[in-house]
Amino acid sequence: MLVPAAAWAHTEAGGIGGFISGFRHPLTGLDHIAAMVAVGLWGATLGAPAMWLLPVIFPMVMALGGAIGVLGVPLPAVETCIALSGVMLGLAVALAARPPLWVAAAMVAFFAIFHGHAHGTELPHAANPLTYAVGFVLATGLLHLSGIALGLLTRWGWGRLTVRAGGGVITGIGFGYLFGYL
Amino acid sequence: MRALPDLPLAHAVVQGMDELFAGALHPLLTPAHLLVLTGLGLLLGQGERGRLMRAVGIFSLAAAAGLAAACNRDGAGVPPPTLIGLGLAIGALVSLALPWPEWVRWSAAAAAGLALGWDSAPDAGTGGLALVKMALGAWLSLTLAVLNVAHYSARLPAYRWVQTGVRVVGSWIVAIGILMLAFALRR
Repeated sequence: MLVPAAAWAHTEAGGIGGFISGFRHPLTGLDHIAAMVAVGLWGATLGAPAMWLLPVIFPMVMALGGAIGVLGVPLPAVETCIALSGVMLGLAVALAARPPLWVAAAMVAFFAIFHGHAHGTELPHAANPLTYAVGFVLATGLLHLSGIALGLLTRWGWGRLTVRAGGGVITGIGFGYLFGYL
Repeated sequence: MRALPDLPLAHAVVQGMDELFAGALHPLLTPAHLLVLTGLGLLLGQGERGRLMRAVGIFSLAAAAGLAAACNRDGAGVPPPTLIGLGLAIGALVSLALPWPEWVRWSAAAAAGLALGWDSAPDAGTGGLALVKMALGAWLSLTLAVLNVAHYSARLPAYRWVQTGVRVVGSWIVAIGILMLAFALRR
């Protein structure tokens, strides 16, 4: 307790700073992490081609949302929709929902817009644009891949239960944000 | 696109380095170039292996033409938003992975070659042997970069998950391009 506060301050200028800042951004909110992992989990639950299509769609649509946010164009109920994304995607995983591919893709794309917008409006002004974008997209993609990797546990009976329980946890996190407990 | 402000993507030539190596590094130190080079290499790698070298040849010739045209000019390079837009378009082609006719790949290779060659030309004021060495280094570097990415991506196993992984990388290039354009519009 007597130790003075460490100098954690950092600038976000420069290529490396921009990359680190962009990479950290999607990892700083549990609601974002939960939803992105849920996309991968759901994709793995649905199997090919959804397993790969959803992580292809999400970054592109999220970037569109990010662009809208960067340009300062407002969207309604962004935080509510982000919390709802955790609830809906978590439920889809927990219930092992198998809608038509276009429904799953549309749902993921819809929520991706809001996640992107939230990140876009919060972007640090000093960030190096390209390295920030590279870090941001890579971190998002890696979260999806983590979800897919965990989702591959569905090959085993105990794995299916684990994945569905994970979906339940994500739903709980979504509700937590929706009602302001988190 | 001409109305967009330039992004601060300028880079300094490495001091004390031989002109050939400085020229070779020149195109690889610009992030927007890397976006286009990676995307184009993946796009060419998705095509028929037998026609890979023809597409790389088109890129190489276009890069030489771009370099030659820009070497003696005092003007600015290619506006960064144009380069980003080109990378975005190529990333979209990779991501969609449709059975594109060969002319689509050749057009992308020619456009990328011209743009990157033009943008990699030695700075105004460089003359004589230094100019030739820097231009040669830039041309070699551009050609080898595309050749390497295209060659190794063409040799990737034909497993579906591998090919989809390439499409995922294409979607990341698109996403990065969209965000960069938004940054450019904001400034």
